[in-house]
Amino acid sequence: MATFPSEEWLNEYVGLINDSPDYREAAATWEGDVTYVFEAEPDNGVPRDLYAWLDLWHGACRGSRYDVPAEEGGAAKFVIRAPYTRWKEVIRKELDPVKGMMQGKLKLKGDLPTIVRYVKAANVLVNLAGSVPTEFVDETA
Amino acid sequence: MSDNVTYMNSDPNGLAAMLGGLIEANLQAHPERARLLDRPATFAITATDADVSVTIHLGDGAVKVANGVRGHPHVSVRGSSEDLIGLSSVPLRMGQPDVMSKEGRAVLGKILKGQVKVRGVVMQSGRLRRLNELLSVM
Repeated sequence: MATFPSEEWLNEYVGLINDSPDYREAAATWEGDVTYVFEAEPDNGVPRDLYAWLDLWHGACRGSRYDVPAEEGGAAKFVIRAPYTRWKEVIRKELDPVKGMMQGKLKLKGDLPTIVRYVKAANVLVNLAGSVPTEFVDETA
Repeated sequence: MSDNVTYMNSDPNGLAAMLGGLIEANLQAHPERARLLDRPATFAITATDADVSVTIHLGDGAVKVANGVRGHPHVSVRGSSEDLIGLSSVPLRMGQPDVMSKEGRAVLGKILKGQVKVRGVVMQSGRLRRLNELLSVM
């Protein structure tokens, strides 16, 4: 079981993205990299902001990098950021990502019309995160 | 960013940021849509599942976006977060969801079933058309 957040977790996630026929179909024409920012919560085992970068292209993930520098991660076409515990809620499927954005719990930077056109793909992508067998860093002994 | 859009709160809620951002991006990509801003219109939009609302006021070539429902809107739209997003990606015909498309029929079905509630469909159809065009990503 992979610990969230970690490089191992990200690699498992990328594997699920590339194995997903739903994502392949929903994002068949998607072009653009995405960065997830797991914002620091020192009391929960995340001492600083962590940037996870995904190179998403035509329904597949061509590459990923964990813990990239902030300026590099922040330059992605789309950046989704939230505190660690919000991501935990999303991964546990306790928080719907679209609803979370409406509530301002998840912040999105990037071209909004594109996100709206690909909202189904975005939902599949985030839901796949919930399929990674995950142990959360604040719950590890 | 478009100069036409002003946020009335220093900390816009997520729905305000999303709809305001969508209008800004659309005005930048389609400057001809600025004609939709001339005459006054006020819209209240509520994401019922997220318990968050926004008021969008058009007039004098500008858009004002405020948290919550303010004043007496001409048109109000209430639906789930996902349904509200869906309204922006439905093909339009004459500014209204195109019932010849699968997506347009789906939206109409949700309105008829009361899953998406729109007040002002008949009496304020011109204003509603302008809102649809401003938010459309199609």
